[in-house]
Amino acid sequence: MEIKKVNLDRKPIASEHIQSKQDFQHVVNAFSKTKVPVWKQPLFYGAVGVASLAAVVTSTVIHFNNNQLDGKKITLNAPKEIKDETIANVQFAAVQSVSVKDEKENASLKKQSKNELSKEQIVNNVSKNEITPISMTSLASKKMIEDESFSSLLPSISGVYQGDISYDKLCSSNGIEVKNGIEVRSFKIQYVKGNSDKEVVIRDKKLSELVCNDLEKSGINQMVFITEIEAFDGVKKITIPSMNFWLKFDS
Amino acid sequence: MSVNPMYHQTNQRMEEELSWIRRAQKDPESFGPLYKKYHEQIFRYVYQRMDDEETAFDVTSQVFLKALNNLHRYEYRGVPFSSWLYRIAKSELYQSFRDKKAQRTVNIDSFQLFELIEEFVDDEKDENRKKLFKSLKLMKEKDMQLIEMRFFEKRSFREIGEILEITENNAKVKTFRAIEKLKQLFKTTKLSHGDQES
Repeated sequence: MEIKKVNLDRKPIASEHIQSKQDFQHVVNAFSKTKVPVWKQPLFYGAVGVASLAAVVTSTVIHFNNNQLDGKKITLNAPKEIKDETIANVQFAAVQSVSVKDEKENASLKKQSKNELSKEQIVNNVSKNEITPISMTSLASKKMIEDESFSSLLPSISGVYQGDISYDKLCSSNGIEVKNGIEVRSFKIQYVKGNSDKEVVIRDKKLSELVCNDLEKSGINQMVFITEIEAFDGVKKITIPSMNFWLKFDS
Repeated sequence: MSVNPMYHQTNQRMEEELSWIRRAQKDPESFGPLYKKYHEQIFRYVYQRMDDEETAFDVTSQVFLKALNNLHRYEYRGVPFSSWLYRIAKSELYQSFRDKKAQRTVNIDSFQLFELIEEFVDDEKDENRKKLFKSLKLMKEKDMQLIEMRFFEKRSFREIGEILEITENNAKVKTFRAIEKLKQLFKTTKLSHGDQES
């Protein structure tokens, strides 16, 4: 910057004169005029931007969750659209989920008292974790039973498709029976033996002696799951809906 | 060399000043005591570097307006509030020169001139005065501001350092170098016929 001028002994200005020129109100007024409104400040747009983004993300998540729930409702409310395999898979998935998760808890319960275990105790124990999938399955199953084409494929042991069954009915019967001359060839059975779940594939329609011995030895009321039932309808191999029972010794 | 005592403040005064600042950060009306305290100092700083009194008052008002606008950003660093105001004043001053609202002027009185000439030569002849005037005009701005603050405004090196945001020692070294440059210019400057007549 170029120095334009050098002044020697310029007339000094008195303090009084400077003070007389003080005008604080003028500065404050100018400040009020120049003050940027909140909505014009970059910070405001930053805050609004963040809030908008949060709103969009939240609504997207809620929408996504709702869609997922809707999907579940369709499964429950429209059982006719569900194929046998789907039901069987859902049921089996529920059963697996319950049995794996509750493996430890069931085992510990069994240790406590083999004979004192009641159905309610186990139901409570199960309900803590995975009651919803089972409910879905049973709801769907009930409606499916009403469907004739489906009910013709329903297997049973001593006339029982699901629910309570005594040891005698389970082991001393003719095994799994299906209407219309469908013959069961193999199935998988899951039950509790000792401290763990046991899974056995049987190439017959009857429960094997080994399995019945295990169940008898354990002597506790427990859930027994019969899945992956494969049968022959005279023409081809078919898969039959799964079954689950409350094996009861005290009935 | 005597030093301007206004800059140096007791801790008590500094704390009082800080409480004014805190209040003013919340309420602009509370900036009043700070305005009253520093208006004259800032005006004199501005007016020292320009020729027109009214423009100096305008620039001073702008300084305080800018200070008020930026007060929320002010951080206390253990130095008087005035050093922050001086920095704003310097910025506003240069802006007014760029906008051609004011002319860069060096104002010097006879006694200051005598002190300065003493640094270079023994006698204060009229010819030497004119040579010094001419040399001052040739100085670079960054050197000129150091000479102005040290010799014309009698500021301490500490205050110069705080205004220019450099250390006290650095201010001392830079001022010494500025004087050396002025001395060189003084030695090499030759008066033309026109200069001698003016």
